[in-house]
Amino acid sequence: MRFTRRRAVQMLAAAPVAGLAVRGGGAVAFQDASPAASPAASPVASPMAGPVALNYTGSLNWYQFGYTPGGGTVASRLADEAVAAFQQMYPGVTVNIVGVPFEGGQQTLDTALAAGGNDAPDVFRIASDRLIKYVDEGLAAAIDPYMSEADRADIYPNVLAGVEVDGQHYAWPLWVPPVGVYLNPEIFAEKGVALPGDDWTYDQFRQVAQQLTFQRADGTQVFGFASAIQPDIINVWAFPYADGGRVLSEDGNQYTFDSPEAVSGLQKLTDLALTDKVTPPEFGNQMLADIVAAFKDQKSLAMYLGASGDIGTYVAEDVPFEVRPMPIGATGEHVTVGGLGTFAVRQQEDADRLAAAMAFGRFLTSPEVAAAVPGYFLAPPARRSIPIAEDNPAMQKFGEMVAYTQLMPQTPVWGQVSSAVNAQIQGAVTGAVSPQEALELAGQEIEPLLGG
Amino acid sequence: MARALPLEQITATRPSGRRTRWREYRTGYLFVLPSLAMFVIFLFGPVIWSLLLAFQDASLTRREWNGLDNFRTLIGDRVFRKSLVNTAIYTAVTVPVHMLVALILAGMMKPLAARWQTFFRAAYYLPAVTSVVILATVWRWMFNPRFGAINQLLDLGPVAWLSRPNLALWAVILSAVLTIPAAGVVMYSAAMGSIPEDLYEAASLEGAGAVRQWWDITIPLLKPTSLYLIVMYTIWAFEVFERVYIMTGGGPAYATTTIVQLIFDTGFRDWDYGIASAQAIVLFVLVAMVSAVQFRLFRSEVEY
Repeated sequence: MRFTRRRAVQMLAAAPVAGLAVRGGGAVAFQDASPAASPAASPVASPMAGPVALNYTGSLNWYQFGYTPGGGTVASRLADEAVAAFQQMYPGVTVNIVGVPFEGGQQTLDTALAAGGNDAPDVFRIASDRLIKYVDEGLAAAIDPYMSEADRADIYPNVLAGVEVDGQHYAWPLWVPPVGVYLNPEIFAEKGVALPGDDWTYDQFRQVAQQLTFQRADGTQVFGFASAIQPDIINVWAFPYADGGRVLSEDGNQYTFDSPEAVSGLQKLTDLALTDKVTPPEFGNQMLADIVAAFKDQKSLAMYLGASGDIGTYVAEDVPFEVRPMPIGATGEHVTVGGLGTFAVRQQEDADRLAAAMAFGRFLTSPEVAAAVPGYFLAPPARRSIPIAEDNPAMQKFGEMVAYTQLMPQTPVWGQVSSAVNAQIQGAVTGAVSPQEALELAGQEIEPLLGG
Repeated sequence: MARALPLEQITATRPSGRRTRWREYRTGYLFVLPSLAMFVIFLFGPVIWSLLLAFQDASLTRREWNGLDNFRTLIGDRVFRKSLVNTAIYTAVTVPVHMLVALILAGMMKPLAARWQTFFRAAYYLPAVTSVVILATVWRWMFNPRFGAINQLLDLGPVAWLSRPNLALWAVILSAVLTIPAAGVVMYSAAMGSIPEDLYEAASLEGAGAVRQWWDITIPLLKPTSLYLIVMYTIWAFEVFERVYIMTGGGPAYATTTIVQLIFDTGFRDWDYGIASAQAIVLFVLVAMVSAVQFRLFRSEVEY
């Protein structure tokens, strides 16, 4: 869809008029929007905001992963439309989208940030678990002076906490991809197994996985369950979390994943692999792409853990699939793990440019962009006021998970924590070490780094 | 008869030695200048910079001298020790096998007609011009426990080569040694072609058989080539990265983590450039020590 001036006018007419407040250093903040003007469907006051006065005229640099000029991909097209919408609101500001590849692009972004200068990123995508490093290095600016009370009320509290460092918030939360379970309904039907309800328990999940592990007449081996376990993928941590385990203490200074609750959860995961043998033989070092291929192409995988990112692929390729929450564990409640996609704004001395970058960062996560660019949100939005399309039931399911999603804690050594735990989980699910030993070994690596 | 000029007059009328040399070689210096500049900017400079970083607590934007702290950290780092062991095993197995395979293949090519030698050199060199990423991806599929070629060929059932901590490193090594050592074949083949035939003729007249000729003539005269190859293969083996990164990502449970992969993660994932540089310095010292031993063992006074 092309963003036109007419559409901008419609959008702005629907949005409550917002004024502006100037707080220290000339920074411009969004004023509260009128709750009375919020759309009826919104569960909270809409923080829809019109354009604010900016003292900046010029260009901003937006470093975006996976972007290719000309709308070569869906995400690229959406990025182009979002920029067009923003530029309609702010004719004096031009946004240059700098595409960086997913593979190796992080280094490009980091180098550009460190180099600074006029070509440095003003706004950039960052996962919340890496955010603290950018804050520590003075590369991310606090968004608090630019965040209205309506914004605060609109963003899920657990999500807003995910971008908090030392009492300040340092990125605009975009979306939350919680980990859920993808089901292949064709395999369920093939074995006459009923699709589970949302409140299924681990025992029910285990039973289903056993029932769906079988060999077809043509020799194809079908497995009940799989999940990627790689250094930076936390999907299987949902098992220890479901039993009450947490990787670090709340202040992030202590390793706590060797608790009985976490060991219990990991034991459940290893049982699937070693006792029930419902996982493929390569489980433990299986690549995510191979899992998706087994699910949608080879039809040899009944269930796997994943975030909402795969929905687009399955819809586009007309692959039948269902989504369910993680099975309920020992806590008796729904619990899952997830990441948090955010837009951070580079700390810079030019207050006017910083304000403009903040306006753009906020816009990219706002109800305004949702209204201007249909289909913009590829994962459950971080704001309550942004509805998930009703014709996307799978995304609706993921959206329901956001409220109880456990985001990963903020620690400067997150990369090492994630890598160490996953390496030892690999050892546990392949039988090299017991779950207890695995989580203790991870602790031996992590504790010296935390300095708690 | 020419009269000798006094020294003062000579120095007054002729440019100094240094200036003469500059005038004489100026064109040459200018020719090598671009290459020298590239070497200094992109190789020598970064090496020195890395050396300095190894003694600093360095992140993306901050640096602070911390003496030998980074090296002390490495001594206590279990993953670093594991990566050293993995890299040493990989090197100890792949280098001799590559040398031997290259020697045997080059030896088998030697009696062939020139055009067939050319054909085989080109064929064997093909893997060298193929991206390691592609080779590693293919090998990852070949090791797939359910439909990979390895299990199908060996009829072993669903052996999870890359997902078992006790097998993964050996699977990676197998993928490396089963890739033809292209540079070795080509260099040995060229070196064998330059050994004077009269040496073999003389040995034949003396009654030496093929094996004796191979052992007493070919092998000793290939020593300079062997030295070059063993040093290069050792360096390449110590620096293994893409193959592991693609096939196993360093897992499972650090079973295939190598030093260079750890340097990559430490530097670019964790922004801990001080530790990463210290790891690189350790790698440099190890390679230098092994190369020094190899130079000592393989050095040859024989020229032909």
